[in-house]
Amino acid sequence: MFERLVYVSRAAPGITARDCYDIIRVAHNRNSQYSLTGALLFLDGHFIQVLEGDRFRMRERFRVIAADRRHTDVDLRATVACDALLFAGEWMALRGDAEIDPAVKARFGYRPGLPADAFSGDRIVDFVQACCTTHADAA
Amino acid sequence: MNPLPALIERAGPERPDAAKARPWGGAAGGLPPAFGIAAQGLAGLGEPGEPGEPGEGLAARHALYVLAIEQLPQGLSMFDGDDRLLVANRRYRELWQLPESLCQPGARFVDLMAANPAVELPCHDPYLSEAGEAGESSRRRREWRLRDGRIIGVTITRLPGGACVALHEDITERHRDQAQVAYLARHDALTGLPNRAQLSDEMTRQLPRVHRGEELALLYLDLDRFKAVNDTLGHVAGDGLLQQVAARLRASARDGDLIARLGGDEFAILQTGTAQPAGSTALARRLIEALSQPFDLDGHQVHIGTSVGVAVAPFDGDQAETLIKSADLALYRAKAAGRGVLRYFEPEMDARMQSRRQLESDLRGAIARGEFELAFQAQVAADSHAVIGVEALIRWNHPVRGRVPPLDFIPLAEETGLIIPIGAWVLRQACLAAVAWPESVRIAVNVSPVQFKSRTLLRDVVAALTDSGLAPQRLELEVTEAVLLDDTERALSVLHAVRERGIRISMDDFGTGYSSLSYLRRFPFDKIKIDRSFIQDAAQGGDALAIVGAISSLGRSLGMSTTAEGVETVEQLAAVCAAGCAEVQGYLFSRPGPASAITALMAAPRPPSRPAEGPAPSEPGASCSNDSST
Repeated sequence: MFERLVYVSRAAPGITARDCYDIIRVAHNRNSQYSLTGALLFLDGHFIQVLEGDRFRMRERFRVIAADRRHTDVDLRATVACDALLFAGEWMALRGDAEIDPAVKARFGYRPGLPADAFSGDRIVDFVQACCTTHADAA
Repeated sequence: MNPLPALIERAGPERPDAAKARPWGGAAGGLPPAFGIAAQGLAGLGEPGEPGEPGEGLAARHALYVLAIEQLPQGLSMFDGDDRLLVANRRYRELWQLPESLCQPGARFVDLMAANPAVELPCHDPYLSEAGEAGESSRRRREWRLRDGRIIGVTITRLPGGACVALHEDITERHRDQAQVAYLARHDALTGLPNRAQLSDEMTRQLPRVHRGEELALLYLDLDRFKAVNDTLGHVAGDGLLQQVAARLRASARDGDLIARLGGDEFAILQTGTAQPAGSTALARRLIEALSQPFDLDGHQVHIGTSVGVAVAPFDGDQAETLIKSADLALYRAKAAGRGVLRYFEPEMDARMQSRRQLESDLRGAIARGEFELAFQAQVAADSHAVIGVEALIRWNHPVRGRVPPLDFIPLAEETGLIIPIGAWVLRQACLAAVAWPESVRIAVNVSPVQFKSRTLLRDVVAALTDSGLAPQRLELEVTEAVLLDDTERALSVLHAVRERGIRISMDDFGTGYSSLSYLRRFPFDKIKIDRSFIQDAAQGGDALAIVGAISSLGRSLGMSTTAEGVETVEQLAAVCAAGCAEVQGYLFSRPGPASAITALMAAPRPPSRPAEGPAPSEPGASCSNDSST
C-alpha cells in the first residue's frame, strides 16, 4: 500500500532553470534513496508535483519540500492511498512548458496554477501524467 | 630513359674551368646553381693526372653519377625555376608510378603530378628551414597520399636561383606507426574506448555549447564486485569482463555519446544533445540495467553491477576539470549509498569531501602527535563481580576539534588504511597497560576487518606481545562477523594462526547483522559478546531476554563463554545473570576511563547498586572497530 500526494505552489520570484535543476537533482537523490517516485511540472511560475511511495517516507519528504524557500503558497490538493505507482521508475520527472504538448494543455483546459475550483487532485494527477507521457524521451 | 644524360647535355656548354670558378656562387650559362653542381662535378674530368683521354674520363664519371643517382634508396627529382624537370631517378619513378617516357627533361611538374593524382596531407611543421640572406637555400616538407593508399614524403630544397631538388620517400609505414601511437595516446588499448585524455579534449570542445543554452551531462561509473572477479578468476578474466562491459556500454549509449574508459573499472560517458537531467537519468538506468545482467567468462557466470554519478553543465560547472571532479564526487556518494545507485552531484558533496580530506589529513598525523589515548572498561564475572578482563577503547583528542567520536574517524581510518598503524598502536599500548595488572586479567582489543585483510595483523599482534612481555593467553581479540563476510577462508586462516599462538578470540556485537550461526561452527570462538541492544530490553523480559538466553545456551553448548554488553542497571544485571551470561560489561560496573581507574576498581570492587561513577564519555564508547561497547 502506497500513498500519493499532490500539491500546487507558487515559485518564488527569480526562479531559474538552474533552480529547477537543483530541485530535481536533490529530489532524485533523496527520492531514489527512499524509493519515492513522481513528477514535477514547472508552468507559468507554478510548481505542480505528484509524489508517491511509502507513506512515512513521503510525508517526511513533504515536510522538507513545504519548507523550501523556492516556493510559496503550497496548496496540498490530495493525499490518497494507492496500490500502484503511476510514475514507477521516475524518481522525479521534470517537465517545463517547452516540453509539454500544447494539445494536452488544451484538452485539460489548463489555467496557470491549476485553480482548485477546476482541478481536483485526481484531475491534476491525470494532467501531470499526460504531460509526462506525451513527452518524447529523447535520451 | 635515364634523365641524367639530358642534364649533362644541357651542361655541355659550360666550360669545366668556368664552372670551377663559380662554385655555388651562381649558375653557369643561365643554369640554376643546383645544375652547376653536376657541371662542377663534371668539370674535374680531364684534369692533369686523370687517366686516359678527357672524353673517356667524362664518360666514366658520367656513368658513375648515373649509377649513384639511379641507385639511391630515395627518389630524387630536380626541377628548374620554371618547374620543369631537370633530373629524376628510378626510385622517383617507382614511388610515383610514372612511366619513364613521362620523366623526360623539360617535363612540367603539374603534368607529372597529374599522372598520379595525390592528395596533399597536412604536414606538421612543414618548414624545415627558411631561406636566409645571401642566397641561402630553404627547405620544406610535403606529404602526399596516393590513390593506392601509399604516403610519399618529400623534402624539398629550394635553391636561390629558383630550382629545387627533392628527396622522396615512402613513409606509409611510418605514418601508420604514428597513427597507431596517436590512437593509443587517445584510446584505451584493452577496450578500444576513448581514454581520459580524449574525454577531456572532447569536453573542452563541447562545453562552449552550454553557453548557447545546451546542457551536457557527464556520467561516471565504476563496477561493483570487479575486484572479486579479478581476485577469483584472474586478470585475464578481468580483462575479458572489461571488454564485455565496454560492449554493453556501447549498446546502451546512443550516437553522439562519448564513452571513455578512465582506467581500472572506471568509465565515463559524455552525453550531449538532450535535456537534463531526464537524458542522463534514462541513460544511467539503461547502464545500470545492462551491467546488472550476468556475464559469461569462459563458462563462469559472473554478476557485477554499477553505480553512477552525474554532473551536468552548466549547472555543476562549465569547465572540464570541474565537471569531472563533480561527477567523481557524485559517484563516490552513489557507491556509499549502495550498489546500482544513481546520484547527481550536489554542492554539499564537495563541502563534505573537503571536510573529509581535512579529517584524513589530521588523522594521518594523530599518532605522531600523540593525540590518541586508550580508555579502559572492565569486564566482570557475572557471579562474583570480580574484574576478569578489560576492554581497550581508543580516544582521539584533537587539539582543535576536541574529542572526536570514534564513529567519526574509524570508518575513515578503515577506508584509507590508516586503521593499520592505528590498530597496531592500540595493540601495543593495550598490552603495555595490561602488564601492570594481575595475570588473571585479560585485555581485549577490537580488530577491524581491514586489519585482517592487510596481512599485517599477526605481525602486529606478535610485536605487541613481544615488546610488552604480556602472555599471549591474556590477550583477547574482539572481531565482528564483518571479518568473516569477505574472503572467509583467508580470515579463518588468520584467526587460526592467531589462536595457535595462544591468543583468545571473541565474537563481538553478536545478534546484530547476519549473526550467522555457521561462523560459530567454523571457528571455535572463546567468547560471544551479546550486543547491547538486547541487554537494554532484557530487564523487561520478552523477546530480548529470550534471545539473550538462547545465545547463552548456544555458547555453553559450543564451549564458549558469553558476555552481556552494555549492562547499566541492576535489573539488567539480574536478567542477564538469570539468562546464563557468564560475564558482564557496562556502566553498572565501569565506565571507560584511564588505566588507573581500572587498577583502583580491581583493588576495591564496588557493589553493583547503581551505575558506576567516573568520567563519562562524550560519545557512545567506541573501540577500534567502531563498536559501542560501553
